[in-house]
Amino acid sequence: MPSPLWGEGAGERHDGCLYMPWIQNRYFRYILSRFLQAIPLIFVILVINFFLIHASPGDPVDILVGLTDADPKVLQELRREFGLDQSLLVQLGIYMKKLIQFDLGYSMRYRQAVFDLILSRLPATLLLMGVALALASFLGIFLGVLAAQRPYGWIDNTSTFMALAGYSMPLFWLGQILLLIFALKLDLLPAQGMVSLRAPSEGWGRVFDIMKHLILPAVTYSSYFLALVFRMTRVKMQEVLAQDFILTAHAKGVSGRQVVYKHALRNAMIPIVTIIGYNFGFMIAGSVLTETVFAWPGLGRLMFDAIMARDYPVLLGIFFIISIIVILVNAMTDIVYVIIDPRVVYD
Amino acid sequence: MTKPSLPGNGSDFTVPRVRAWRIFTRNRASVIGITIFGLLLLLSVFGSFLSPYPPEKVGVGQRMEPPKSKFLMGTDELGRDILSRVLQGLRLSFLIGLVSAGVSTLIGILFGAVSGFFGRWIDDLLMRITEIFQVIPRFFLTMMLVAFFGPDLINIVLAIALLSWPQLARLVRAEFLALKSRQFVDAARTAGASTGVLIFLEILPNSLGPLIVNSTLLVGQAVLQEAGLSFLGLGDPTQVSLGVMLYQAQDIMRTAWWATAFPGLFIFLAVLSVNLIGDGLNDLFNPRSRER
Amino acid sequence: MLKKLLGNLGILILVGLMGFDTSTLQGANPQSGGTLIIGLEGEPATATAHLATDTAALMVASNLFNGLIGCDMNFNPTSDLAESWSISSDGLTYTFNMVKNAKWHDGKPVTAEDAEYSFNEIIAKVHPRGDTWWPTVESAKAVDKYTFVIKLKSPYSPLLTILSNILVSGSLVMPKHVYQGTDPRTNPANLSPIGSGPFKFKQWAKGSHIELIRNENYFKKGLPYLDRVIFQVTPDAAGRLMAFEKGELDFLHWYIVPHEQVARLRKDPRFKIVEKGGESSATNELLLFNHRSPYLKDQRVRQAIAYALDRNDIQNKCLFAEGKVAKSHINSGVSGFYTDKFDYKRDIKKANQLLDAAGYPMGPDGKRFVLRDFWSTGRPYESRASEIIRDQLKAVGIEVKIESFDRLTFVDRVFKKWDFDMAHQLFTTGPDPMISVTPRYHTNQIKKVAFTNGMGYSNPEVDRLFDTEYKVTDMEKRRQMWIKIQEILMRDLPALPLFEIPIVNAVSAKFNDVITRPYGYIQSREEAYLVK
Repeated sequence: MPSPLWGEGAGERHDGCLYMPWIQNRYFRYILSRFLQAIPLIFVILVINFFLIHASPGDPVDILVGLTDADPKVLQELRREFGLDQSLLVQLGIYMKKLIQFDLGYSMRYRQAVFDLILSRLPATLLLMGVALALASFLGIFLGVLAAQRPYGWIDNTSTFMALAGYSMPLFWLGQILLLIFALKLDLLPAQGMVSLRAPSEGWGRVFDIMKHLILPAVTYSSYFLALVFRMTRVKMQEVLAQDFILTAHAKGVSGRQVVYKHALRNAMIPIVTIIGYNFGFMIAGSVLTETVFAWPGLGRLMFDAIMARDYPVLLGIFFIISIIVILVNAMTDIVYVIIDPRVVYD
Repeated sequence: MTKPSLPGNGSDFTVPRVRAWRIFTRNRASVIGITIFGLLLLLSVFGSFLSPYPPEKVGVGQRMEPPKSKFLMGTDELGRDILSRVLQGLRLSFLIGLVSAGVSTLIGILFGAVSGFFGRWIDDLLMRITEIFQVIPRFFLTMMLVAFFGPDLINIVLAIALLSWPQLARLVRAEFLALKSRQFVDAARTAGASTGVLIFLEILPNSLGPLIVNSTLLVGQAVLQEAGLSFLGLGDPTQVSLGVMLYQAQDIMRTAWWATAFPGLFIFLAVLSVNLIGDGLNDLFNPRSRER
Repeated sequence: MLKKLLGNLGILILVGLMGFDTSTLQGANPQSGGTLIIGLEGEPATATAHLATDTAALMVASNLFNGLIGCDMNFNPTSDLAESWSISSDGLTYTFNMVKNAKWHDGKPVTAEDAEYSFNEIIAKVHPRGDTWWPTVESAKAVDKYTFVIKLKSPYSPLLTILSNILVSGSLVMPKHVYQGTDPRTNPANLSPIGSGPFKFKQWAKGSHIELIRNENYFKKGLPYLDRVIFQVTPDAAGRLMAFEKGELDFLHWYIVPHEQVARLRKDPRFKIVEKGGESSATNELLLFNHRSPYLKDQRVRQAIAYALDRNDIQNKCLFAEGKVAKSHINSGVSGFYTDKFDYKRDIKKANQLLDAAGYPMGPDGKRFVLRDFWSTGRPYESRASEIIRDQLKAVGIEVKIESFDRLTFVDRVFKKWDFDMAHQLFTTGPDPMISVTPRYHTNQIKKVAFTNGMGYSNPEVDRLFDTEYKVTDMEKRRQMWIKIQEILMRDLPALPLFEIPIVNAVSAKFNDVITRPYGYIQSREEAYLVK
């Protein structure tokens, strides 16, 4: 089996390392440099949050024993077990030391390694976000293009209103109303959870099952972004459609539809990509509300539970992982930006 | 003190009022927005006179009565009139939105102006700080702040405000960077204006355009954030805010749809109107309608 | 003569019919099969009972493990892993004879050594409430393979009650061969347990659900009936209710049943409201009074509040008339000890008199003084109660400022910082008041620990009674002592009992016998079956 250390470019020595041929890829190097730049940032975030959490009233060991009158010896033991009886600076030091060794610590509330815990909840959130973003993007772009071609027509007005509505409504309210209508009154879709528990299915059946459970949460979650993407597309398309090169293409005899979708859309994509890319952090946060309403087992809800339980290893772990993901997405967005629009130049 | 109306100024706050009004009203949506906003504002200001019952009085009617002539929006599970509570909640939600946006704007202007004007290490420091806010999920931090320091109305407003100023600061900074080397600034400086005057009376008024747009949008965002916090149980239950009403309506929403429909509707209208106004202002100040 | 014979026959038939349980008629022979899906309001930390006392963990653990004994609806002990037991005449030695055919889910046999290890190494060391009763134990040993003996230092009446109740003691027998040599707090078996119970652990999808499947080799022949028991994490009250109505969930336990829906669910043939299963807990909602407050340290002020409040109205509005007013610090479900003789009748005039006598005259604006009232998020009836109390106390000139906090902050303010005036708190009062009532009002329980005597109440007379009553083995004598205790507590009012939490569990009509014990909300579902 070919080892990754001896890849295709192994024999050629550029200014990169012999052992990691992919390091010569400039995109990779860009991402890497962004990460390295971000290290002090992440450090500061963690320290601030560490002190913030410890400044809060409420003792995590109380949740650990199930909120009951407990033997003080047991409580003391628990504090000792989690290092809570030591001074803050010592605790911070221990945490940082473990972090460098990629040990995110141990969740007090869930009695599991934080990394494993986060990893077990992350896929659900990514699935929800991914589907919601895809929905928002496709629908937003589609409607935006249509609306731009006939400004103030009925498609434009209806879509604008719906987009604004999605942007102005409390997310959880929308979710609960959708639940009332589609899950309860019409009985078309499931109310809670990610999979059907009574009759679990395998393979493709399971995929369809998850998709069915995903519909309402994804629609709810995507409402905010649908608005943004739609409006951005519409504005950009209008700008582009008015530009000269479109007229030129028309004159050259390129068909109307081709003109629109090929030339104009490409130019409109840039801001859309940036919207999605740079609002990624917001999406992760907004997942708390959606996951609560639909009992979706994701990271947002884990965050909420950890806050309520003052489970600081989990909180810090989530901040850490989210920071990394956001930086990664920002960097990749910048790259995609370059690829789509070669006119953009970075220093 | 007249504002210089020099060509190539970039920002359009100096557009004469009539022309501004015309541009604003050309956008049908923003007209609707202002109308709704105006109506809601009137309702909330005169709410205490219009309320048929004291909003906190328990048992003015039977529990969970559907909307009827006596209780236009029905009653909640303690027999309180929902219309009266919605009016009070509207006032509170507006207060939350306006104060949060206001505080955010003030802090944002301060930081952005100082950073953009003085540059160098101050600028670097500020950019680092705003990067922190860009990376951390805002809502998580808001949740943490409110959970840790108590779900008090003041804490909620402060937490929302403290986490919204960075985006405004960046905006102000960008404007200052662009404007500080313009002719009119030099002119004012040679005329003997001090730094403070330069910042606040010369540059700032010319950078207000995008700032106002974003501040307006912040009002809506703040109202939605408070609603979200309340839904998670982090709202201030001793206050009658629309978000808290939605939270309390959760238990009975299955049979008393009015308890959740009306507060939600009013949140929607309030945020919608503010967003429409923001849209209109956007058309006014940014003819190219560039969005972030 | 014939008439009399026929009459007697008629009576006999009637009596025979009355003795029939209609559910037995319906599903006379419980069929095998079915999946019971239970809704949880939060995810448990572990699937065991030895580390925490939260409802979710106990609900799961009771299906995976067994205790030595259980108890029936009349609080008589029933056999579980112990098929019989005996108590020595001096009340100091309890001998349990364990069943010989019980096996762990990995096939190894369950023996008295497992019981010895569980009690000495696990429960005594890590269970949060171990200190309530373990200090009375002198030794707990396996004298042979299937005999387990507990020797006490002095007679202790509540022992069997405690052993039968996992909420109080967490006393489920755990496998020695899995836990020996490891730290019971961090052993990974806590997350995928090996027990002896009616159901085996199948999977735990974090944040979503825990799935258990039938233990085919369960030592109780014929049980369980269900194929699977699944616990789904559903944190949103509205969504949870909708899932229940759609049939996605089959069981909502009494602490999460929305009270305003109970009347409607009762009438719906698809669901059943089972009004038992909480008698072991016998939970009351109380209004705690901080004895360090300058106003509340005066007994007259506390009594005035008791006279001023219309607790019937409070109960009506908070629980939608499903519950009852609490008339004592012990819940009426603990019938062996309860008395309502010392309750207060609403009397505004008397309340005002007491407040005047205490030296707090009514000001010209109708106000005497201000009190803060705290409650913690998560229980909608507490929020309603505080608002009604604020409304009602206006009539006697007490202005109430309401503040609410999340659970942990509330615990911190009330039980650790002692910084409150009035606070709303749920306390269990069963199965034996010594376990659940004494720790709230004894002087030696004034410590900065959650759910102990945060009020700072101290009365040597009642302390003396607390210290002696559980040593008495004569039931009637104990009862008399508890009546005296209730008299003192209701006179001193360290806390005012507001209402009793109604025991209403919502179950899908498709299942029978989901609840068969006084701790039914957390019991094992080995007897539940699908109605065909």
